[in-house]
Amino acid sequence: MMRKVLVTLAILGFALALLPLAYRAGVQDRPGALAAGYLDDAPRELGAANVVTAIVVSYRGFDTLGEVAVLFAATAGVGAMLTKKRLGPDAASGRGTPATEVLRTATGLLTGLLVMFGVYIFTHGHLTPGGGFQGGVVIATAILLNLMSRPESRLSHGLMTGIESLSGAAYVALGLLGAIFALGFLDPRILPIGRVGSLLSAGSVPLIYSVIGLKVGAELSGILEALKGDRE
Amino acid sequence: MVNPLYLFAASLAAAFLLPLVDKLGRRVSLALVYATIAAWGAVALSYLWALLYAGVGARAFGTAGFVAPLAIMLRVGPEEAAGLLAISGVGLLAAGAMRRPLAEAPIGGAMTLITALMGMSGIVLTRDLFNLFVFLEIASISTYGLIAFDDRRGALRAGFKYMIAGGIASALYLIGVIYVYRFSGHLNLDMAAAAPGLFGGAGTIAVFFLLAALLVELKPFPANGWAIDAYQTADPGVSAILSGASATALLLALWKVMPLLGEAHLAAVAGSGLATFAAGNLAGARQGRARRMLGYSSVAQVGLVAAVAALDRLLGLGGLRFTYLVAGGLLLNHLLAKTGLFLLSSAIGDDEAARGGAAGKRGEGALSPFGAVVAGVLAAALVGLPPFPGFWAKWTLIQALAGRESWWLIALILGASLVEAFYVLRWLIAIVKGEAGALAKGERGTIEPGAPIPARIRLGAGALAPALAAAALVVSGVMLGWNLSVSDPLLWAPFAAAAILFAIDRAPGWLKSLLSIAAAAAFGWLAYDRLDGLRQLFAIMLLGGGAMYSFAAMYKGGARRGLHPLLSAATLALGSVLVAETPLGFFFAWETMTLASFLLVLRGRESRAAALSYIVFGLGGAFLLMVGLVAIPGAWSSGSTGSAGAGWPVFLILAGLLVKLGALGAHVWLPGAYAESDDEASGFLSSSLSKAGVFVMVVALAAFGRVLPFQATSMRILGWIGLATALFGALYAIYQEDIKKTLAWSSMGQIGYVILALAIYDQAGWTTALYLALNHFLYKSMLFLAIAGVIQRVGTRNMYEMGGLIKKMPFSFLSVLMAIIALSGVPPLSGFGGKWLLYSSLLEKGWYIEAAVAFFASAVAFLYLFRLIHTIFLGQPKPSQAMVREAPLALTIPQGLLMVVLFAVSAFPRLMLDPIMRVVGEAFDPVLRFEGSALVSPLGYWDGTLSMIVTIAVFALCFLWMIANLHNPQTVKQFNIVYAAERPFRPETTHYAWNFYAPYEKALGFLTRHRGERFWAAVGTGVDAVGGAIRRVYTGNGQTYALHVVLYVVALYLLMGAL
Amino acid sequence: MNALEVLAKINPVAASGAVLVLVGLWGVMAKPNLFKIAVAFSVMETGVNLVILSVGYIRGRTAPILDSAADAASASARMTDPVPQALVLTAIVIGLAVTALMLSYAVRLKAGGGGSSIESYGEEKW
Repeated sequence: MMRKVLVTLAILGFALALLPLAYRAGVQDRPGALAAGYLDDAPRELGAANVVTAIVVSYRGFDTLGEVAVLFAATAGVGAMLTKKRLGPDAASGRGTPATEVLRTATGLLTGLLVMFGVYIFTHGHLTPGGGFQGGVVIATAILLNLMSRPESRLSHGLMTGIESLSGAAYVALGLLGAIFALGFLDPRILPIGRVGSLLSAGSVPLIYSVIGLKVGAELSGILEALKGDRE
Repeated sequence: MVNPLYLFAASLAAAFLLPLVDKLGRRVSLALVYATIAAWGAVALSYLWALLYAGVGARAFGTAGFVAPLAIMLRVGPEEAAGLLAISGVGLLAAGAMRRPLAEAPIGGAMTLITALMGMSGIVLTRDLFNLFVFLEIASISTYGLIAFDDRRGALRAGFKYMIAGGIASALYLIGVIYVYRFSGHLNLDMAAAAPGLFGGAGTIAVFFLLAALLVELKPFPANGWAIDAYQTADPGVSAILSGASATALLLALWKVMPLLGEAHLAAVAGSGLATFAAGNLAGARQGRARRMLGYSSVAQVGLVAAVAALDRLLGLGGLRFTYLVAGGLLLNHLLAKTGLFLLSSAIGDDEAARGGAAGKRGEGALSPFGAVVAGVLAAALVGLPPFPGFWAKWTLIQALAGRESWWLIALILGASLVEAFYVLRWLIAIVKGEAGALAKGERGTIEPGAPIPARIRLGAGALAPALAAAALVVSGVMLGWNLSVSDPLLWAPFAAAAILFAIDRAPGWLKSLLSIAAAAAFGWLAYDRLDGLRQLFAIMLLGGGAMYSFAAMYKGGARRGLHPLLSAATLALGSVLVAETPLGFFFAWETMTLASFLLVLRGRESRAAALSYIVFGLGGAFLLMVGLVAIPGAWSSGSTGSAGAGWPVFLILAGLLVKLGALGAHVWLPGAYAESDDEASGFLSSSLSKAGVFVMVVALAAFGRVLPFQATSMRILGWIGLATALFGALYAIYQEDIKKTLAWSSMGQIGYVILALAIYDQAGWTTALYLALNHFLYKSMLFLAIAGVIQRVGTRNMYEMGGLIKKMPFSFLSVLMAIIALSGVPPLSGFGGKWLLYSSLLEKGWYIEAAVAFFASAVAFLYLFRLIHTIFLGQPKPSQAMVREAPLALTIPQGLLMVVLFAVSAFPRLMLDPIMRVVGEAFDPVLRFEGSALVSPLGYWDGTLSMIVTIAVFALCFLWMIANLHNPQTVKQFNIVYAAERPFRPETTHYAWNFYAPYEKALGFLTRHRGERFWAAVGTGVDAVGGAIRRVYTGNGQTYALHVVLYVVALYLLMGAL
Repeated sequence: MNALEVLAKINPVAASGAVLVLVGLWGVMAKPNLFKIAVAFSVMETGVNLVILSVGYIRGRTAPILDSAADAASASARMTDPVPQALVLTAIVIGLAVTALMLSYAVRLKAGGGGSSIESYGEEKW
């Protein structure tokens, strides 16, 4: 009872703190100087049609590198925690009920499409909404479908680790190339920025998003498999 | 400067490739981990070098070929470089200690270790608010993984709670950062700070959310149960990283956002930090589990550092240099000591984790000498003893706060520090003496008496990391001290002597004795020019006494490991008290003395409780002294005399000294410390070390005695305190069965007379005081040395187990006889002069009641003195002691010397009184004067030489008369008596010396019920109860912790609104 | 000002985000099931992400991608603020990582023989 009162008080208090913030901020009517700067300069400086991607991969590319590191650390943590040895032999879930016909058929049909769609998303991240993370997640959903339809199936753990490691290293290498051939670490202007709107534009942004897409796809698949609980 | 981006690239590449490298073997992959961490350290060193010595300014680095405001900036300045070094240093030490678990766990453990340290380094470097969030998350998420990496059950439980709190904090941070962007238009910190939108109105609230997130991550009271659970349960290496590296990063993050904070924010930081410091330490006081205790201490220390940084901005305590010195010093101290202690706790095996039950077993033995030194350094640093960084930081902080007259803050900080010292040193005592296992099992477990003593614990390779941390503490402490211009080599001499003697600790005892004596002599020679008359008098007692006890220490054979370094350090520290010229230098010497003498007490066999109360009271007294010193500008500068500004702070100094002197009320540490330490160390403490307090009291009263508020009343109260000390010291002494306790209480009483005489505050009184002090030194040394011999020969301290030793140990008998004649104040020895001086100056002053009580106290003293000589040397010899021999030469030689001196100054009082009166004459108008060999006061005169001649003549006549009338004496055999055939249950109770003064106890016993002990025990219980109540908030339920976090934030928000 | 004006000033995205944050926070504090706590965190993170996006929201403008609706010349006049959108991308991924790790903890704790309720993991205390 006491606890409920305290929880209620805490929620009310938190709402009290949020309220003036959200209210006073209101809705802006035009972007601030920094945002306007990005909007005006990004296409010109980087050749990226998608300004958000220009910010994510280039101007604030260091954040994205960190973001990759976060996901990587989480994968490492999950992988270390959920091994078969640690969970015990009977922890593996999903053994009892076989997948339905619908799921199995759909999986067969969708896997290829999903992977292709994922690749499309991360290679076109500089042109359309999307990017490496989104593409990677879509690829991972293909893996998830497979894991659900055939719980006994195994991903090749070595292959996943290999993709993850090498694509991560490739990202770092692309960043270093920026330091050598352009103005700084993670600078995408090591390749010509091309014409705004074409696939081969925005310097190395499509390349960076591709390796990120591969890495994220491999990592999320790894996490999904680890949660299944039968990893060696 | 190297662009730090390359380090991130290298760390990430290493982490990404680690699973592949691991295929080559775990050795290779771990080598890669160590190399990566070391690379950060090396670059951090190069930054520090460039910034501090090569004169390069702080530099900012853009990313992705752009600069702010478009891109994220990194900055390398002094605090960043130092932070990186701290993180990589702690990381390397911890990773080294975690070698085995890292090798056994999946490679994910090593991967998260790299990313965790990289994340913390990123927190330190970045100047972008959102990037700070990303690095906070890298660090936290890696930490979550790291906590669980070796699959301990407890750590898994704690890790989940840790995640809940961390998750709430990151939500707070995100809300904060996005609205900071909204109101300032920037994510770059420096630009946001320059924008007007953040100050006042909703901007303040946005910054509040940001700040609240950082504060929660810094583990404030009461929203820190999750962190303490993790400290307790994770691998000690992980705990070290959390407590050292992570705290450093988060504090630097807080430091970074400080330009955004308004006054209300800063007040919130300061208040929250101080509350955490106080509550954390109080809750820690109850803690028996070492690692949880270290956890409480960690959150407390981090709270203090945060508070200091905020207080500087709020109160203007001294700007950047101040913050670097105090916050930086405290942080450095904390992270090194805590890293070392966490790793040490794992090396000892005080490890209740789920690794199996056997781990706890090792914790029961005492540490090996080397391990004990390391543990001692780490613990001493943690509680802020010299020469470690915490000491310098504490002094500077208190000084600055005193400058702002923030007395309540000072009281809070020092009070909590004292509690922290109590529990940290209790743990130190337990592990050094070998009780850690027992302490870990029960909350306040004790070892069964008579249990077999387990073998000493050898730490082996596990000691490496703690030893490195300890070494770093020593180096940084010395550097800081130098920086604060405490560079007088004589002040550092105690540490040098201790270090050298420890290095040759295996050498034979006589060699170390001689070296110690040489050290004391060299110190005296080097310091001679700086000693005025007063200091020369005290140098005889302090340095000379120390050297004498070093000599006496040879009376036991063998290396006597640990004794000589400590004795020599304490002796030289006493010397440096005499030569210190600045308040800081003096306080440094004083605390050095406290530390050395504490360790000396600790060396005694059954000294656990005694050593703990000794150091707690010692530190308490020292804190009072410190506040007094910093509150009086120019105190302890040479030639400072009473001036405006000195007022009530003088009372603090006096109170601190009274604690040190063991005045009634604050005396409870005294009997244990004097009785339980090694026998010659007891003598040193009682006859030499107690005079340091007398010395400082003389100096303080000489400088400020005249400007004391309510001068006459204050002095009279001081006099009564001394008098009560004298009376009760004597009363307590008479009922002791333990010979050393008797001497301990006697010392307390005799110092009481000195205090009384000082309070008289004129030439006669002060002459008396110094005369009594010197005299006490002489006869108490003789007593302790003689008794040391007796105890060694008969193997007991109980007087009723001795008897009739006069024939076996005639020299010791003579020594004790002369000493008690001198003590009791009967002619012809010097004590008579002392009593005469005391009574005449009391009467002269008009303190008649005091004189009467003093007389009564002297009469009481007779009782225990009589008992002393009667039960030990006279009476019935014990058959079991038939083979007892005279004490060894190492004891009898100094006694012989002292006898000669005592005889000389008794026969020719001017030998002693002339120098004393010269010193006192500088401060007071003369009351006493010499006419030939007679000392004349307005009330009469005393001629020591004449009384010596008369006494000798009278005794000679009696003796001759006896010889002449002695016809045919018959020797009586001891056992020609027949006892009734009854065997009492406790045979010793039938001994005549048992309960010797039972009749007096009926009359005076009501006076000797130890009320002081009861009072302090009640204080202790009270603190304990408060701590016990505080820690009830830590229920162990993760959701309750989440509630704490949210309520903490809400409360802070409402408080800020109120401000 | 009348109620309508006040209502117009409220940012609809921020308001819904704030509600989600509170709901999530309530779940974290009041639902003892480990998996529900993880889900509550997801809800809270979603709310926070909405709050972030709300700051970049500008009525009547288009997404910050050059296309037929907005060309390079009129970008800053016709597009919403891209910065919160870039930030939210990072925040989402981080939230995902936290959720994954939290679920792993829950799985591991349950596999170790404990219950599903957080109350059964309170051994460390005081």
